[in-house]
Amino acid sequence: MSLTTLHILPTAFTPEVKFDPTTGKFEIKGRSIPENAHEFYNPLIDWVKNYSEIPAGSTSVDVYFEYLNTSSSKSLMHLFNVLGTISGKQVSINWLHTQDDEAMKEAGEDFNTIVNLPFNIVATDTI
Amino acid sequence: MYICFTRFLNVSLSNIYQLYRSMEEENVILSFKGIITADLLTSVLHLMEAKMEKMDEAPRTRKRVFSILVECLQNIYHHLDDNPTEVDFEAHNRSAVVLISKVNNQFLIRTGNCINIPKIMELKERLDMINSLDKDGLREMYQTSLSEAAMSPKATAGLGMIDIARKSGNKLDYEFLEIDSKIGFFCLNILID
Repeated sequence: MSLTTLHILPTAFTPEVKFDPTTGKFEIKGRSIPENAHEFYNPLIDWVKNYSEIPAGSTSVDVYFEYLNTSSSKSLMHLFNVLGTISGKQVSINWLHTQDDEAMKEAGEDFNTIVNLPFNIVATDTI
Repeated sequence: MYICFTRFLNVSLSNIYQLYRSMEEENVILSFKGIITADLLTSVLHLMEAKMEKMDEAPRTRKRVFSILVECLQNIYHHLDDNPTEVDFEAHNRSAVVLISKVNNQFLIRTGNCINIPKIMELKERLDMINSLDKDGLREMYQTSLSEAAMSPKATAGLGMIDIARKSGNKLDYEFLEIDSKIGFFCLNILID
């Protein structure tokens, strides 16, 4: 069974998601502050579980949040852990934050400390 | 001066003025009292964001106040959501009060909600633990709780409170009041630097 691209449009409280199984290029961008984040993230996690069985040559995940609540952080941990199960193929996370967003930089550093994946924390002004 | 009044109900009409005056004096930006539902939570956040956009605040401050408010409201929402299975939490015990004001150039978020008496000790211990830690200690506690939370999807592990403490840069000011033998009231003040 082949996976099709996962594309979810952004809402006021949830981010835009674009996961392309062919190129291995993943993006999560926007606000993530739903009160029950698992309802939003569980379908993504299931998709990535399927993907992890037939991953692309390399997987690169661009993550940018304007706002991120703790409920979403928990779900992201699950998501990163599932990505971490992909073996023999390269998987990396690019954690993007705007120059002046110290809190989002710290959030990236928190994940970097506890997630077992190569993490690039990148300050940028073009998101 | 001409003062005119008509009174049909046995409720003092000037009470509302006193309430208005005290809120005005305290620089209240937004206040709410009632049952916290998912829809209401969304509306309050939209309203607060719109209000702050009109205020002359640095984007950084706006972001911090908004992020902390998100955690505060969602904490109350989940906490009240947990309760019905335990002690019978009547409707009036399911409501909360939230006040956001600006005092001497600092934002203050005040919340109050009912809590089952047996839950107080655990929450108090967690708050005291959080208040005993410095910046690095909080970071470590947050990271540990986050990795543990990933193992057990149900546990919230008190991440919200740690996050509030980290983002506010101040100690969590709290008090528990006893309403009756079963129900207490949890007051929380968060001053944002």
